[in-house]
Amino acid sequence: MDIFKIVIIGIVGTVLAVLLSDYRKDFAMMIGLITGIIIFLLVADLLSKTLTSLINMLNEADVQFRYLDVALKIIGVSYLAKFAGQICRDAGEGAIAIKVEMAAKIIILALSLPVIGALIQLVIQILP
Amino acid sequence: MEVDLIFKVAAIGIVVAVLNQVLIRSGREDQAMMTTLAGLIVVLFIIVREISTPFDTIKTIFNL
Repeated sequence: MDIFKIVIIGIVGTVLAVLLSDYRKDFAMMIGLITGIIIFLLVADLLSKTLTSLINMLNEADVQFRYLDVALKIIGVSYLAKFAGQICRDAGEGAIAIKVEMAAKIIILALSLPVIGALIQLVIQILP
Repeated sequence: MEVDLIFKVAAIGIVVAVLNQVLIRSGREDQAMMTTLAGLIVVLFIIVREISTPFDTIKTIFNL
């Protein structure tokens, strides 16, 4: 099972980071970074398989989901921003973390602008 | 396996910390600083190569 692998990697990474954080804070931060990357890579394959099968199911059921690509892009942006923000916050740089997350929010707003525009168009069409 | 990377970084960190202590105790502060810098650069090289892989994966998964 993959979950045992992930749990063991997380515990080992935490032990090593705590061990090093007394002597060298920078190396402890890098251990946290690389542990996060390895755990993500272990589940990335599963994530992409699940997403493609979900899209295939939607196509087979003939469901029109027009803004699926926008939703996927927003999920990707928010995941990346959260990852970087947590790394910054762990290293004690809360200000940089907040700025990264705010930039991600602005990008998400810009990405979702066509959806909001389509909604407003729909409301204008329905109203006489 | 990629889990080796965690142990690699931890080993470099422990060795650098020990060397740092020894060199500072024997009164060679400048060499201690050089050792720290060298260890940091080596770890940075390892990390930078690894950090691009999840970014590429996320890019392909979510069509960014």
